[in-house]
Amino acid sequence: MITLIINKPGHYIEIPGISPFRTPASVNISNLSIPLVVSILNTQGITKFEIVSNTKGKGQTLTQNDFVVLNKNPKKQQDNYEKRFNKLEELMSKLLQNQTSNTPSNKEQITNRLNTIEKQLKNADKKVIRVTKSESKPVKQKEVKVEELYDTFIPEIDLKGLELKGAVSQKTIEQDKSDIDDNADLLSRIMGSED
Amino acid sequence: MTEEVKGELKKDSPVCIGLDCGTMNLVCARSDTDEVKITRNVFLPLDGDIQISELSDISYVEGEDNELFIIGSDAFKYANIFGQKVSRPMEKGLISPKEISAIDILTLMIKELLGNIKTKEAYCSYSIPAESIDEGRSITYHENVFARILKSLGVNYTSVNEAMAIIYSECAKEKFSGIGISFGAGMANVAVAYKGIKALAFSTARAGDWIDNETAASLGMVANRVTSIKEKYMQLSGAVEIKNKKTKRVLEALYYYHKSLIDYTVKEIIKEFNEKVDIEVDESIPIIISGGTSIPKGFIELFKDVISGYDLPFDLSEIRRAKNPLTAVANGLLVRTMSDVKGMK
Repeated sequence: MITLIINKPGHYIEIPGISPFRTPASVNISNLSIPLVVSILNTQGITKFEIVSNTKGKGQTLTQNDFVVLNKNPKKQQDNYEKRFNKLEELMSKLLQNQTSNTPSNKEQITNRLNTIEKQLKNADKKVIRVTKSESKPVKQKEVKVEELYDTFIPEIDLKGLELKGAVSQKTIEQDKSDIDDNADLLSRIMGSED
Repeated sequence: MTEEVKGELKKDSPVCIGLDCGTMNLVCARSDTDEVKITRNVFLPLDGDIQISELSDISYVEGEDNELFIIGSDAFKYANIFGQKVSRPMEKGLISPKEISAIDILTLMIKELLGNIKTKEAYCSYSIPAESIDEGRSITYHENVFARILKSLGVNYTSVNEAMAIIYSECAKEKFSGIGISFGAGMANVAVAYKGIKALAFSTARAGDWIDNETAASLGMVANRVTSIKEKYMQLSGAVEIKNKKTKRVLEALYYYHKSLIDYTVKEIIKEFNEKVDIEVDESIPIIISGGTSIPKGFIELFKDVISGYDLPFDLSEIRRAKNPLTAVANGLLVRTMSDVKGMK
């Protein structure tokens, strides 16, 4: 099972494929794509999280540090765009020569459009999220995560300042409970004999 | 999950409690009284603009900053009047992630429901659903929240599967062998038991709320209104004397979704039984149906009709309704608590 653990409280997170949940939380994400989960967490501003796998033989713990946002070499990317653009321009020109050689205004329009495309390509978002594999760290099976996080996860109950007032809201049903005692005796005997 | 609360030794004889923590209702049965108490597991936070002239007739919680929360069935009544949606501490059988601040209100409601336990040693079994086969949420958080609530009230607690509680309540004559199904509001819970031992338990996220939401979505209505019509007029057999066309249309849609719910649950029982039950059950076993969603007249007949269309992987002796579908789980939990306390002596 792969579990996503977020300790920081106060976030309401929606990940497609599982029910929305509120942090702090420990959620089973075995059926989800980890890069997808990480990118969703990034978009929601969650920077501290843990992804724990306890599959036998594949135990591994990943943290936010294992997922880095990489920028490709801008120079290389620029060259790539230019190459593609020149090729595109060449193809378009050939096409135009055949079909619209008598209409120079069309040529101008197309050149303008190509210029716009060139600008847009240059400004395109260059960020690529890449998941890097970290060294496999076996999960210590003896660590019971839920117990550890018990106090953080379960909210404190604070009844100070809250007072129950007015009429009683309960409905009461009278019933004969003589068989309940017999059932309890029987269950106790059956369960006792199983032990 | 079991824990004994350490504290001062209490003098009176111990009191055993069964607490059914349902999405729609909280139900409490105690060993020292013949009364079973039920309260709606909902509340309505009141806006500052809303003024209610007579608060003494309704049950409410007042906060430090004069915040008001109407609790229980009155919350439904006033939500319909004000055209608001009630807040629900639970959703789909588990503590709702949307209403996390409601845990304090829920604690007060449980405190009121349990009644006086100050001078008594109290032992309580509370219901938890089985892991859902169609919903990714774990029950761990839910189980721990209720454990903390009971701990804060000074009660010794044990969590017990909800559908197993139906077996404890209704299957004594079969020596606690059978299939218990609880069609609640948030979930349908199923347990297969053999001589008191759980052989299989699972839950599905389709139950009463699913019926209401799908009906409301189909007819472009608010789910509150559908729930209200369902509880007032719904019956799954016999003629319904309703003249209002819109109500008739709601009842028709509700019928289709009840049938679809039963069909889905039966298919899942067969699938899970085939895949996961290893024991050889050499005798025929009963199916016991319980829960608020099974209350409408004709539900059992519809269930029998649907299941007759399938080949079952077990011998079925009979299909019967729990003596009281609203209190069966709480009574079963009480049986379990009393049995555990007897075992301690």
